[in-house]
Amino acid sequence: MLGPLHGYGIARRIEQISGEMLSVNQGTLYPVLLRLEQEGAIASEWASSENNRRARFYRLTRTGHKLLEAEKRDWEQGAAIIARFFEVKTEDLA
Amino acid sequence: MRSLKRFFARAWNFAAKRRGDERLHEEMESHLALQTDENIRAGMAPEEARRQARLKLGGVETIREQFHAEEGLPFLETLLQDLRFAFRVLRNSPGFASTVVITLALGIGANTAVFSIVYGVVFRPLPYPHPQQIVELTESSPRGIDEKDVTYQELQFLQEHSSPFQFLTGYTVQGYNLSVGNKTERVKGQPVSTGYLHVLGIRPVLGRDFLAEENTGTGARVAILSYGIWQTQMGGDREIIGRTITLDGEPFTVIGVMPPGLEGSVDPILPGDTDVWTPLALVGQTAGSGENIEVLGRLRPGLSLAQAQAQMGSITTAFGKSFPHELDPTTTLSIQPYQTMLSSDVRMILLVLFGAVGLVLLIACANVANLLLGRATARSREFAVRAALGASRMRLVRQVLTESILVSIMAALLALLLARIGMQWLLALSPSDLPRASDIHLDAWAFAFTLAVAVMTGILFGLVPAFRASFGEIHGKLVEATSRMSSGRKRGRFRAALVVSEVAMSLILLTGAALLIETFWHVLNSDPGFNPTHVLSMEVYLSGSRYGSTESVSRYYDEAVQRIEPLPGVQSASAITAGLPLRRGANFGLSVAGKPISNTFEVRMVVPNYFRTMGVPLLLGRPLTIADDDKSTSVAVISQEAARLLFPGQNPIGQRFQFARLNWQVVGVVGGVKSYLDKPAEAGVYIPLAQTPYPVLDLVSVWFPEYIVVRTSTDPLALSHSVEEQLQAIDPSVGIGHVRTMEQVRSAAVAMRQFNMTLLSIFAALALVLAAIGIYSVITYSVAQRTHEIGVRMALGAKHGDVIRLVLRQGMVLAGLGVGLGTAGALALTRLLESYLYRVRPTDPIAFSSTALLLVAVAMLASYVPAWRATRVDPMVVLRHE
Repeated sequence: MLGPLHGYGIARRIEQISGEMLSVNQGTLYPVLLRLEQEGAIASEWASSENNRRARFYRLTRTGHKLLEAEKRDWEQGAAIIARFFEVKTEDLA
Repeated sequence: MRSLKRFFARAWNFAAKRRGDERLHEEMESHLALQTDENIRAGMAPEEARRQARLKLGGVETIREQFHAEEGLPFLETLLQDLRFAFRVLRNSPGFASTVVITLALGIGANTAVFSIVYGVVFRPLPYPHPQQIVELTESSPRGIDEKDVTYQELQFLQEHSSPFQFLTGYTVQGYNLSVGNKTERVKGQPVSTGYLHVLGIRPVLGRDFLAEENTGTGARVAILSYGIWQTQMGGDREIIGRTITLDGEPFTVIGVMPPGLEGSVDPILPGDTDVWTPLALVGQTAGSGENIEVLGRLRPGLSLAQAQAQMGSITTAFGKSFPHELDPTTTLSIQPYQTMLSSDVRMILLVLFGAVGLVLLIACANVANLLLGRATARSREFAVRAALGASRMRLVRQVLTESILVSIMAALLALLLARIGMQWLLALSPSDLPRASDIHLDAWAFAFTLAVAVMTGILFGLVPAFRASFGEIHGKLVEATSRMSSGRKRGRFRAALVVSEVAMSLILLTGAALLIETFWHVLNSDPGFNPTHVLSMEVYLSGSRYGSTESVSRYYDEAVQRIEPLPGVQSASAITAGLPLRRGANFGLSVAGKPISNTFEVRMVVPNYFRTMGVPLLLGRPLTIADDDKSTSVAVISQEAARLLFPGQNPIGQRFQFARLNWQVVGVVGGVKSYLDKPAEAGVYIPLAQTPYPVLDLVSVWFPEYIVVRTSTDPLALSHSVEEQLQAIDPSVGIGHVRTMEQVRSAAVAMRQFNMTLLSIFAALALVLAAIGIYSVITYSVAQRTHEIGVRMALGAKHGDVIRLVLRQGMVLAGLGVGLGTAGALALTRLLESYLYRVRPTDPIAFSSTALLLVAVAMLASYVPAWRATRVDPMVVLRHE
């Protein structure tokens, strides 16, 4: 799931996973990738793609994994808190 | 942490922005290729596949631009862009650029040089730990604040009542004859009490401090050498500790060497750095010298000056009880920062000079702003085009400001060079009694000052042109710039205002300079009471057991006079102690009929022929002669002023007064001789050296050299060698120094005034030239603007004279307004100079009217050239242009 993948693949994967719900301008992906790489979260190298096109393959670094974990935790916590606001009923607060 | 990382990433992108950009480009190309492949596989035609891929990817350029803005440092990039542009603009107009840079460099350089002097003398912290804790004892009275000298007993009292102080010490100064081997040299000594080094917070670099027991009783013969004298006289020998040196013929044991770079104590009689420190107890008990102890203290840590000052009240009360005659009821003991006291004599005038040189820079700025405004007009089309292409107003302002700051920083670099040269010149010019002269350097502070001034001036002279460039609607400017319509009246008015203020500021400077010049003239031409031409003077130092009596000292001088007078070219020779004319004398109290006179008198000891040699007129009675020796009655010659104070309304001849427990009979009255050129002559008393009690001679010799004076018929300095030879022949061990003519002595007495006057005059001259350039450029500009109008006038029959009058009138209006404003400003500001003036009032009409006339004349000249050029306008050419 988190193996090396080239930019186009990442864009495709986002579309797939989101069930075509998130269809962003794919071009905006690349500045983000560049920024992540500068932050050390991902690393990249040139390689051949499955159909023999040269492409840059990205993979998560150790820092990236840690960052991902942290972000995931933050997100889940945040989401859980928001969820409780929606789920709360008047009688719960009595 | 994360934001720091981002900043570095951005800085990296900025430095290597091409790489990031290329990478994006590459990635998107590869993305397009992959998407196109996929689309084709999905069955699209290649053309369509590529189009769809592009659509999905989005606006490539927008993304790249956005990345650029977010990931680089756009501020820095714009700056670099502006800088590159500014460089190009300046390179394209080297004449303009060099004019501006040189004008500013002169202004900034002068400021840097004067700043370095003011900072070094007045503001640079003293090189001691926590220098703000070091204070000097002063007395404050309704008249102001003065240094406070105390006696040895009073010092001891203060040391017992020194609650606000961590350490309290006293010091005095005295000259010593230092003998090393068979060489004798006069050095400056500073007897100090225990705690002196603690007050300053220093330690000897070699050896040790004085011990408490060395400073009790009559004191131990021990000495600490200055770093300088240790290096020059002892060759930096580290074995010096424990060795014996000879001071005034007495053996002293060297116990230490001070660190280098100590401030010389500021002393009017013995200026300069101290060479040797000795225990104060050695001289403390001596009657006279014990009254001249200055007190330094180091405040307790954490105690502010104000808090310490508050505690001085109770000390004053206790002090007044113990020494009832010492303090006026209106005076209180107080303290002043040592640093303030060191520069108190020159602080005001240095700040005035600093202000003056600041005005010069303002004038230079006004001139440059004027030039830039002229250029901004010429470039208004360029700015209009930029604005039309979408440059925001801030963007235009920024670009113009970048240009002006670039110019001023270039000027600052040149200014540093000028300041370096200027400072050497200023230091060579500065009087030898300028305090803390060794603390004047062109250092990091001066560098920072220069840079700050440069940036500020850049903004100052650039701001108005910058806003001018960015304001107004574009269309009008585009049209205006191409047509011959006369342009912006307002702009012309602003430039006129700049020139008016330039004229006003230079008038202020000129008036100040004129007042100082007048003062200097008055001081130089004030009658000193003697005839300084063709008189040679040289210091001699008799010391040691061979001159331990009045008789031996007197015999030395008698022989000296006998040997010198026969020399060819010598008219007469004599000797004097306790101060040459125009030098401070020794103050003593006298009594008449046993009653002390409240004034002090300058008593000098002379050998026969003094009045003839110095050219002091004898008004009554007879001069002192060789017959007035130790076997005859004690006699004295007194000055007119002394006669008035001692025997008011009586014939002084034959009267008696008491001095040094002896009765002296007045045999003659001479004219007053000045100790200070700008003050009335002091009350002077002359007694024969041969009749002076030895303790008095000894006491005086602590501070004052004795002088041989020789009146010659030719150049006095030409005779100095043969006179010295004769003195050597009498006794080679006697030190001789400072061979000077009395005219040189007079020059030294006015050196500080000359320094101030020269500096202010240079600044005023600079200001005048700048103001003239300002008027010239504004009038030239206005003539260029009015070419059409002038052409029409001439076509309608205006004569050359009419045109010249028209243009000149404009210049005169500017000058007139400037002179009016400047006079008002000068009236307000010349008061600052009041205490430096002599026989001139700060509102002196001659100074005010002559400078106003000078400025009007210069303005007339500066506008005459463009006026004359205006008459060259050919009406036909101008009209054809329509």
